[in-house]
Amino acid sequence: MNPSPDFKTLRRQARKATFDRSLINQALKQSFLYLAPRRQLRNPVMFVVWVGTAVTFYIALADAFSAKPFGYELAIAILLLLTVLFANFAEALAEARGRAQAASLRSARADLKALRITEGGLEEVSSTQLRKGDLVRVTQGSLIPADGEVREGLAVVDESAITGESAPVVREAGTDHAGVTAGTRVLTGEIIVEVTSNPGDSFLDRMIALVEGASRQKTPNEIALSVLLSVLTLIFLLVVVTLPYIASFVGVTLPIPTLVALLVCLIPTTIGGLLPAIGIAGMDRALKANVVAKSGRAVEVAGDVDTLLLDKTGTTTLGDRQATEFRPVMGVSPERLRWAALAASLGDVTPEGKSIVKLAREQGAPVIEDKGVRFIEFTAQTRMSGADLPDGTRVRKGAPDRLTQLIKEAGHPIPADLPLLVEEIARKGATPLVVTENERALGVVALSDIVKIGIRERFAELRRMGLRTVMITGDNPLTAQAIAKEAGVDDFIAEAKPEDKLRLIREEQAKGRLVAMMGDGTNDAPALAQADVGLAMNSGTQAAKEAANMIDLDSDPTKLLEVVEIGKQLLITRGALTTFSIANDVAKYFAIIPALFAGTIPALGALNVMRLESPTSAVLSAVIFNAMVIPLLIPLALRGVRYRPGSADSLLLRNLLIYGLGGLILPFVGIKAIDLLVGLFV
Amino acid sequence: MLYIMGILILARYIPILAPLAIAGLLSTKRIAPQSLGTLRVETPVFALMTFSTILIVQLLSFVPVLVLGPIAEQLVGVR
Repeated sequence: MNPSPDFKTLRRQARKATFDRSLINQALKQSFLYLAPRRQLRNPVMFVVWVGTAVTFYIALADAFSAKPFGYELAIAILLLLTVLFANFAEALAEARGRAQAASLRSARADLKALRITEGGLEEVSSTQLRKGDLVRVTQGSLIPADGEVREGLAVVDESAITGESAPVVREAGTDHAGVTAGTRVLTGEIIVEVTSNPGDSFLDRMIALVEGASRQKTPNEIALSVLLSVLTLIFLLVVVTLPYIASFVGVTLPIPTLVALLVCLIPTTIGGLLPAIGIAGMDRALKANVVAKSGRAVEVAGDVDTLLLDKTGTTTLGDRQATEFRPVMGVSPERLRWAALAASLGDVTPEGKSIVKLAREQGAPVIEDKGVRFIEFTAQTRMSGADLPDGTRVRKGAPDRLTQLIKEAGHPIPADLPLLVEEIARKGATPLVVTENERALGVVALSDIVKIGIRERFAELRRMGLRTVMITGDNPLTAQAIAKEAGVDDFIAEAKPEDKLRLIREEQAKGRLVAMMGDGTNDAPALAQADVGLAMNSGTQAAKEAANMIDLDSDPTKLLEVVEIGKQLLITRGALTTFSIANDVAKYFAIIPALFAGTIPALGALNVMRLESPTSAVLSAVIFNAMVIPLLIPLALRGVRYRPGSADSLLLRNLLIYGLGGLILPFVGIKAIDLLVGLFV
Repeated sequence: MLYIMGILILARYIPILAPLAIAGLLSTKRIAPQSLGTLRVETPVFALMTFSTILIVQLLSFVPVLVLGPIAEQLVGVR
């Protein structure tokens, strides 16, 4: 049984199907269930619409029973009901998508066999019977039955089912890479895993509960916006409620259904209806990037982060050191050194060894036949590697102190410039490797940290977004400075101890900044907990994952940058739709106000700038536009407005033009178009 | 007459007190340092946005009454 392919298909489907039919059906059903008044009370704006619906339905019914015409009243009541349903649908669809995504992630771990370790030995149980603290033995080739931490042993694990990443990873007890995930396969090795969560209580399960709303709480930003929208609603409620009294003072009576229509068009229903969906969609997008957020707040705060704390290795630089330079000693030609280094590295499968071969070939070293060559592998005892060539030549490479010893033992002199070269390379932050031929020194190979391709541009982008990047490394200050300069980070901390991270976060926070960091080790846990956004790698220890407020299933160190973008996009989407919603009101006024007074003060027809057919069709068109705009904006709310990195000022200008000016003009066009259609029927 | 006076006083002072209360609340918030990501408020764009927001919200609040009063008067008078 291989779960990977069908699981991946599931994932792909979940990604593709923004508006999958089954999701839409689910959401449609939910939108009716969400009509319950208690549910509606959670959203004051939509609750007002809900009450308006009830009032107009009542009037329509009363008119029907007293044999008065009631078509107009009923039409408004139905349109208002649709408005509420559309808003419910947006929320339900966002929930359904999150659920589908989480469920596809979870499907890999459904009912696996587990070998539980008991006092009497081993027993085979289903993974659903596993409890926190149980120890299970996972043998070569089998699937890991539950989320856990490796307690004993070392294994190469294929995590492609979860991460989509095909390169297998090493998971080892007692290291920062001890975390294993249910549904992943042990390729080689045998490990004993301690189960870290009860069934139904894993991070994914918790995230699903969050998406489904049971445990979802409004984020501070959502609360602030809700307050603003509620106040606006209250103001417009006052405007509309006082209007009939003022009108009767000048002898004008106003029909209640039209007043309700005016009220609903004025209050910010568009953003009010889409607000919950936008928040959930933010978590959905995080999940799509394989990041499990433990709260909506975490995603949102990511958008406001000022300082990013980044580890050097893996984030800024490739994890492995790469050969960058051959430095021959005096009297040795560069060709000779290249050739020897290449020969000594042919059998070397470590990334360092491969990089030496690559560099030598790039610089034109001749191809060496490996027939008859005896490769000497690196061991902890010899601390060098190399090869014995068929002609008897012995080439070696290794740490300077070890090879100096080798040269001395053979009774050869140490070239005077060798220690200088070694020191010079070390000072630049690179690792020197001495190369010898028949125990005579040829020169030094420099292995350096290579800054990741594109990371410099990424940091520059972050700077444009106003984020400060601080690189943390255990390296000496010289190396750290060299890499910091090359990668273009704003600041760095060298020779950092784990507690330095915590201290730095506290310092930044004391200055009023929000800090995000990524970590995987147990000693990262306090810092992850202290950071405003703590992103733990799924491969990390349980302590790190517990302390963080987000977990990256891919364990990709650059994921933090994506999370920041998702957060920013979430905040911008909210702002853009709020602007759009309020700007829309102007056109609706020009539709409804003339219609409201047209009967008694015909001269006010001059305000009917859109030349709408009749007062009835004007009001209906405005209400239809108001309702239709919600489903039309659902894709935007779920996917988020397009985000281009830039300064806050340029973003504001761009979005003001699109959503402010657009929101001002679009409804004039929309209402006029709907009016032309409605005019055919009324 | 007395209750009209009361209303006038409330209508005068509530709009003054409310912003003062908001300002008081804001003054207790921690100050976030300026960075490139900070939205600068001394730009034409921000001024335009603030002004438009004020204009739109005020229009939306008072247009119905304006329409019933001065605007109707003007339009009817023109006729």
